[in-house]
Amino acid sequence: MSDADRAVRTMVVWCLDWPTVAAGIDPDQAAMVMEANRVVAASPEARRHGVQRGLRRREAQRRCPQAELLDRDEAREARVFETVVAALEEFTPRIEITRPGRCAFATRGPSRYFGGDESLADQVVARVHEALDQQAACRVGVADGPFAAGLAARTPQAADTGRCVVAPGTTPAFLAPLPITTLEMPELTDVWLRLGLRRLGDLAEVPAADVLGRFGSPGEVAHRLARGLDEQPPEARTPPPDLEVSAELDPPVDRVDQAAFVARTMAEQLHQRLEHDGLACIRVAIEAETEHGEHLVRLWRHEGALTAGAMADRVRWQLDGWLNAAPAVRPSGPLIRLALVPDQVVPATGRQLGFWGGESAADERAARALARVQGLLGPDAVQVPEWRGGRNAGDRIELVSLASVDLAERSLFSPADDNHQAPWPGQVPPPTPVLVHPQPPTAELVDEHDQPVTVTGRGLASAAPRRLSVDDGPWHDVDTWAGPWLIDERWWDPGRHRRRARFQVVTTDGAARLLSLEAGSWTVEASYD
Amino acid sequence: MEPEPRQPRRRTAPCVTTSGAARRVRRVVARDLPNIERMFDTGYVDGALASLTLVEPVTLARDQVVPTLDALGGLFPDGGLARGSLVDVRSRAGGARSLALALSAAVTQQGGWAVHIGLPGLDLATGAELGVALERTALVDRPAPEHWATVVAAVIGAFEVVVVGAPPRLRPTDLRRLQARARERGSVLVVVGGTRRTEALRHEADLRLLVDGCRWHGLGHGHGYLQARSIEVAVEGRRRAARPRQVTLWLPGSDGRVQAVVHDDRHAGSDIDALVDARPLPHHTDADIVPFPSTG
Repeated sequence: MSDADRAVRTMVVWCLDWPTVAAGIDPDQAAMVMEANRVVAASPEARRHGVQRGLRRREAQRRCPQAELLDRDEAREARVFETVVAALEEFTPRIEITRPGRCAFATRGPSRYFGGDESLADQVVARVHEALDQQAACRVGVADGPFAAGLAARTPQAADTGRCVVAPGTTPAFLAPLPITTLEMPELTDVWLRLGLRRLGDLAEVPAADVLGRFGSPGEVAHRLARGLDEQPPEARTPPPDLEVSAELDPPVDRVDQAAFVARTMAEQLHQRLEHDGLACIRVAIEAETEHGEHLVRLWRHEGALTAGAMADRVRWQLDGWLNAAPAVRPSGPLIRLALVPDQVVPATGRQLGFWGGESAADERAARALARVQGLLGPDAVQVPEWRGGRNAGDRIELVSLASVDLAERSLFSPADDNHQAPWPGQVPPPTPVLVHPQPPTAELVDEHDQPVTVTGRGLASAAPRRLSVDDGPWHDVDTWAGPWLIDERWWDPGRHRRRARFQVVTTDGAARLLSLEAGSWTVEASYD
Repeated sequence: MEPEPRQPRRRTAPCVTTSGAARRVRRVVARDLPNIERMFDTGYVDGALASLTLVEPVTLARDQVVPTLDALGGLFPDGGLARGSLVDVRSRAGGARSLALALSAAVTQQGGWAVHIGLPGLDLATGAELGVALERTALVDRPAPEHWATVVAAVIGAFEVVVVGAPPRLRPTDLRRLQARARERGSVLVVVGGTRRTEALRHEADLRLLVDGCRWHGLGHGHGYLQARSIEVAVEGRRRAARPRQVTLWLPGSDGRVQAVVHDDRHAGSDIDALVDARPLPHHTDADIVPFPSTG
């Protein structure tokens, strides 16, 4: 192993359950952060009840009913994490943020100055605890290369003492007994497990050429990681300086949305330039200058190559972190210059546009057009659907603002997925009404004696409905009808308790409606338009 | 040996805009190809291919369609939504939104995108039941009247199918500009739920669909639940669609999908009802939805 091949000695700082910490949840309070119906993070109290990452909402709520549910807000996570990174800047200026809640830096310089890796690690842990007012647990791992350092931060030793330092040169030995699934490359590790390679050490013993020949460049990357080398071969080069994209902001900008708007075009510009040169960016430096000459730099890293959308998101988070930080660390004036510098580039192995699926040129066109509409109508005017599941009309699909979704990285979902097939007792069977009234219009439903139809305490209709009037409009004769279907939701929560009886009613003109009787008054919940 | 640059021009008619000419050129190339390969006569191949490309790009309007569900084929003279056309969908007693959703089903399944603009309360779960691929579907809030034309213009071209709720008012110049843009970019503009105020827009439409004769099946007097709906769609239009037609559809059918009804079966309503009622109830309805006892 040549010196150039050896991974850079790296410290990874990992704040546990960052999404819950960023949401301001106390460690002894049960809470979980959800995204697309799955748990992405849980507070220590919720985890004590068996809530894990990746659980469905329903299952997680069953295990820990008292937990508060929070929606994921990556911008908030990044903004709060800026306080941690700002605190770590006392140790070293070049900190790269892998994602909010996790950052890494090279320790060669700082550990000499602060008296060795152990001492540096202790001081970092103490400083992060101080920055977060002791509200969050933080673990530190030091090893050769960010991958091994990240694993070191997850060891039981790190859990006990807050730090785990792998001695220089012993990283391969540290990695060897770890299960191969820690690579988090399921499509490769599934095969390797079946081939009998269960530990990282097993993989490291396979000749590199064979792994490359059989599994291609993803296999090579995994093999390098398993051997404790840097993820990228040493020829990963510093990019030529002319790849930098910068913009002078005139007039100076102090609002995040204005700056983010500029950043989005810059990210696309940079992406085009890189694409033109056949390069992909794995680490980008976001630089900003303020009116008073302050120079702000932050590095963001991405495991895969950063797409234009992903880069624009990171710039927006970072700007949010700077401009909305606590007054003590906030830049003293508005920004006058913004620059994106690709800090590490690798030859683009190609983001093959889909031939039979996956990402295609049509997807890119659509994303661009939607971004333009967002510019015209505001970021929340464009929505994309996501399955959520539910028993009421309009609950099964959640509309998510495009501002919080990256179309290029959006995980596809299919209606055939069992996610929305979960039993929702009381759901009106399909077909689903196509029009769910945002403000349900009132209705009057009367029987043959023109008496309003009611539902008895035993859940029976007082009489067969004969005529229907919507919004004090003309009377329509009822053709066919069924109901009442009773639904008593959230009886344990006085604030959100709803008790309703629903009817399906078809009038003689052929229109079908889903009516609902709640607290004595009829409304049209949805229409089968 | 210097290859002799033979151009097959004399074999193609001067007017190369018919598909007949394309077939002729293909025949020539196919017949001569063995000779070409033997001679390595690249000059000849290039010439032949060049004249082939002269012929190839010409496609007729009927070939340029956005794919639609097979069941909806009867609505369109060309078997699909003609690219660049303006379609007006409205209904007397419901069905316009579902039909508009169904129009975008096949194209999204095949990798195209659809966007729904200004249709508040649209539940895309229905779309999924009708076969719309939701991962390639986006929704845009109703734009303010002054932005309406700009927003629609921005998405035309990027989306194969653009479904819009009828605008409160639209200047004729804006409408013509949008139509021209749609023709140039090959998108289909579908306007749903027009009112009297958008009569001019309906007049301009290439295809006018009016949903009528809505009949729901599966619901009784105090029992059952909505299962299937048959609708009659009156189709009018311009040019090839000028002949008015009447198409009967299941939207949705008893299996939740769109189905075409063959006209002879229209009197077999009782059979259809039997078919619908014979379908077993979905398992989760057995316990949770108790049929209301007849009040007699």
